[in-house]
Amino acid sequence: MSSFDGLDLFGSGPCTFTAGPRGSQWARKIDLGTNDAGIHILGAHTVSVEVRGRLTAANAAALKAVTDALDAAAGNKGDLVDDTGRTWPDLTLIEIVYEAPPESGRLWSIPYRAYFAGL
Amino acid sequence: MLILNPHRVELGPLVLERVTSVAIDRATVTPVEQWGSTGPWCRLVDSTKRRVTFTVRQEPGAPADAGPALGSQAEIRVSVSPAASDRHRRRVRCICVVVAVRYEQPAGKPPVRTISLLAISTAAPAGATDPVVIEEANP
Repeated sequence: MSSFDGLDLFGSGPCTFTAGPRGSQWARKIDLGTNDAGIHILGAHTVSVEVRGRLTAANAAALKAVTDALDAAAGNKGDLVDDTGRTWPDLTLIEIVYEAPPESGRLWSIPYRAYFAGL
Repeated sequence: MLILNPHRVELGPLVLERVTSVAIDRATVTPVEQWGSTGPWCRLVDSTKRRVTFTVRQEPGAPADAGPALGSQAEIRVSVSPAASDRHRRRVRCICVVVAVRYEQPAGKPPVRTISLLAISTAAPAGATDPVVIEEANP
């Protein structure tokens, strides 16, 4: 079961975890105002993970409770654990984007992405 | 749902004559499909945007009869009675909007007018209630 800071924020529906980019941040020297060839290493990327999925609930009120719980975690710092048990320690929940309005069918659901980074 | 040779079909104040069939199709416009990270199979499917289409096929009447106006909104009422009797008569009714009126002349067969209607959910709470009502129709 996935979790963030010990809370099951994503388990109401399926989700995926995408880590990266990794390695170094860089820029072409010509873009930095020099006429030199080559690139300039700016420093290592911070650890970042994007969680994408769909939160679900039995009704509108329950879905609001699920999204409220996610919203309340914005800015918090903790360990992020995916569905396979992989753990990224000490990430901060930087941003939550709901990608469409809530939809209702058999369930109520809303698609989202949540961006985590090590600060 | 397919109703062959319905007993009576009305669209608002109009009585649609010589109707040979009424098809009521239900479909999901854009199904929700969601996959997770634990395997290849879809984890969530839901029918969130639904469309109900009525297709009325009839033999057209007089040449000047253009049929119902496009965009007009009315309640369609389809009465069905087994064995052409009034016993156990049922009625399907639904608020619809006319979106197409087409004509064709199949070879060796009578001409056919096809009226296509899309259902709308108006009963409170609008949009959350199945627009198709099936009820007993007392003679």
